[in-house]
Parts: sequence; C-alpha cells; structure tokens
Amino acid sequence: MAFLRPADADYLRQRFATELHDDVRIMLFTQPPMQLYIPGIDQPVNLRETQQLMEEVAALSPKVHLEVHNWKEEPALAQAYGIDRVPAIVLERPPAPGAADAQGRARFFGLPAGYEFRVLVDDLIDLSRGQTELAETTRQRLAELAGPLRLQVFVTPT
Amino acid sequence: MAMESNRVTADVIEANEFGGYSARYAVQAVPKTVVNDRVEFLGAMPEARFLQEVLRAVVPENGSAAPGA
Repeated sequence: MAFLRPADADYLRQRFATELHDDVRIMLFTQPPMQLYIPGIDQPVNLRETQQLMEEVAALSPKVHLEVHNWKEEPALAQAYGIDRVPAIVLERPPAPGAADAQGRARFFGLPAGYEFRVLVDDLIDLSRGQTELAETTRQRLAELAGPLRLQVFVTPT
Repeated sequence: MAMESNRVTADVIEANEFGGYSARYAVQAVPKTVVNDRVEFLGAMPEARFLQEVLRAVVPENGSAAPGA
C-alpha cells in the first residue's frame, strides 16, 4: 500500500512540476533488516517504510533522483556524508559542472513523517531552486560564519 | 540554513527512532535544537530569534559579543 494518498501524490506532482528547477538527489542510507537484537544499541526501525516513502517521492518528478545505499557495504561513502545511523536521508543539489562539492545539503535521520515530510519537500524545492526563503539578514550572518555550525534538531512525528 | 553556507550542517533526527542517541542529548521535549554540542534550546520560534539562538554557539562565551547581544 502506498504511503501517499492519491490526492497528496497529485498535489506533490503538481508542485514539483511547477516549483522544481534543477535536478536534486535523494541519497538514502539503509541496510537489510537486522535479525539480531543488541542491547544498548539503537535498532534501526522504519527502514522499509523510509525507502518506500522516498521511492514514492522520487516517482513524482523526473528531476528527483533517488539513490539507495547500504551503509554497511559502502562505509567510505557513508563516512563522507557523516552517516552513523540509519535510515538516513541526504538531500543535495548535485555539484555544478567543475565544482567539487554539492551546493547545499540537508540530512534526515529516521522516517520523515508528519510535519517532517513537509520540511523534506520544502527542502527539495529550495535545493532545486538554489535559494531559500530565509531573510536577507539571516543569509548574511550565515555567509559570515568563520567556523562550522552543526545543527541537530530532534523531532517526533506530528 | 545549511543551503546558505557550506559551514552549516543541519540534521533532523527522529527522536523516538534513535532513543539512545537522543538520550545522550537529554531530549525530553521536541523540537529540541542542539548547536555544536554546546548550545541547546527548545521549541519553534521566529527565524530572527532562531538565528540569534543558533549564533550563541559561535559567539565567545566570555562576552566579547557586541553590546546588547
């Protein structure tokens, strides 16, 4: 059964068609379901659900590209993206020709359900357009940063 | 914010799925934002206020920030 109701899928398909500009990439880091319970370690949950939801999203626009990676089998890639737990989603705008790094990136750990799904969709669109809705002063302050700023926002589905 | 600067990384973490990790940050209510493992605050807020809170993580603790900041 699909996660997205037909009406929601239609709405998103329409939004992507009008608002997406450049191609964007969803990188999903996951692993095969574990059989073994290890006390004290967060057991990955919602692996299948997260993959299915991302497949449904990617199917809504030819500009959204989904890559699925098993982080156990691709440790170097996982490390490059700072992935230390799954399911993890990296949204990025592929590097411009000649550029080394992706331009802008957002990461989600866990199934992006409820309000977080809306955030994910908005992020995809911002990345695709290469601009955010942030105020000019915010953008300026961020551009002036001398060191790294690592934001972690803990949420629960709403 | 992570889209505006390469120095910024932004993670959204589902607290229930990563209970052990969340416990390390003593997450008891959401949304909880942790910046550079140094500054934390609760709740959603307007953008300007959020920026102000976030930037506390990169302002020297001993008060060389601008007056009134």
